[in-house]
Amino acid sequence: MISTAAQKELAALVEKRGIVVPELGRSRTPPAPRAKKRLPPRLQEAAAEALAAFRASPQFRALIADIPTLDLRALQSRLDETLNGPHFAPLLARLRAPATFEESPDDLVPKALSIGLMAQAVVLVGLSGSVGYVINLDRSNPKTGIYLGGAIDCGIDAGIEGDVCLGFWANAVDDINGVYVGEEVDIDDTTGVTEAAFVSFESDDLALVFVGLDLGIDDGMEEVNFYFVAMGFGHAPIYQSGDATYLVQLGTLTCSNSKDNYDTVYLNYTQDSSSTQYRYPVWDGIQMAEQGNDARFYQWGVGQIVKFNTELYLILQVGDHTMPTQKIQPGTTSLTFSDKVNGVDDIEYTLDVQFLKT
Amino acid sequence: MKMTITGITCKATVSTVESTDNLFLLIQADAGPPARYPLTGSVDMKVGSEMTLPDGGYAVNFDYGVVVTGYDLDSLLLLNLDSPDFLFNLSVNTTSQSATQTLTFCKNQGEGTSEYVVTYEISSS
Repeated sequence: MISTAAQKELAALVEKRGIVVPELGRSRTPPAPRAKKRLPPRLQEAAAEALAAFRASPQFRALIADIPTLDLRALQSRLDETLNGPHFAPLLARLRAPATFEESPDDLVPKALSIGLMAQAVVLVGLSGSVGYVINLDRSNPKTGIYLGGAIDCGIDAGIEGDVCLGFWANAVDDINGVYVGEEVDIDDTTGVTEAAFVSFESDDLALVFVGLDLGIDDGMEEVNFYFVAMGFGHAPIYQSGDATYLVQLGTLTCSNSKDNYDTVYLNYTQDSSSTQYRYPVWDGIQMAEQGNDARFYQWGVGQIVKFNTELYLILQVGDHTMPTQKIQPGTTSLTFSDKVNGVDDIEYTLDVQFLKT
Repeated sequence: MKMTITGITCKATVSTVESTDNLFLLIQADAGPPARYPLTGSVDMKVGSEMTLPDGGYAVNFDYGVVVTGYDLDSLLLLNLDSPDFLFNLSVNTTSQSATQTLTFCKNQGEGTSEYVVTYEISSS
């Protein structure tokens, strides 16, 4: 069971975001045709290997022992550490290179990967199912969130204290919100690895596959409607831990074309292949204008020192607009963030960077 | 190398409530774990206030650089609903010299500004 504190926070979050759970029940009878797509066998193998390695580790035992006492933020941070840790690195590397697993056009190419707990009692008002942490696989759109959801009853063995499960999502984090129909449960008799597939209610396309041991989910889930939603959930102020090859100081950010005048700007960044997002400033932002509008505030000395081994991804937020991700690599001296809003309204900011350690 | 912050003076506050900013600093050397000053709470800053610092200044050792960011801790009543506001930032690296910097940031669409004057020394040990 996840802790009562985390469950309460989840319920509060759902209410705060105004999320309304649709009425759920059993879908179409007789059963719909099987999902056209499948989870590629190579991903299934890599997932099973990663789970086996993780379950044999002390980190797994510590996580399971701590879950009853973790609040939501701590739970998210522990799952983030797990997913970006050594046990799941080979799986993530494979997922980010579809050529390494895609064999046929029927193969699902996931946009997001989650790690969570299955068959927890009640995770969302009256629903039992799964809760966990989900990340986008596209490095240029490194969103993360808490996902949660489930079904009214049927098929989920609510009594089981769930084990960790991996989720392969057809949608990116921002688009996880809707009804998923249970499609098929497949249990490997020799390894015990269980695969539970869900299709989208609207399109009947394969939308989600959970892979785990002891999912606590059985054949009764077929045709059952599940509701899943993912929500961005802020990180505590954290810093990039560990050593890295390069240290870079972000220099002067210059506004050459603002969105609205006095946009509030801040930076998010991620390091190498990790999905953990950092932010500068940690809270709030800096209001900037074009030089012609207010010569006092068209430049900001960012100054933040960041570290990485191969690359650092920078996301500039300008008011309510997220600029396309830019990348710092060895040799980078400046970056230009440039985008159009509504096709006509240009936004442009430039940033110079200085290597402090190479 | 060593950076010693010897003075922080407020010239203009962001907060309109009693015209007092509740200042605390996050100081991060070499992209390591941030230190917070003061350790808990904040220092009340009105126009003309000087931040109380340890005797001889707040010193931090670094190999590559230091980032200092000042935030306004919002009212205790709103602590659970709100998060700190940015007040100012500055950064140094191994090429920096001792200096006094006036740091002005735009608040409220150009109508308000935060203005802090920060003095620091850079030394080799």
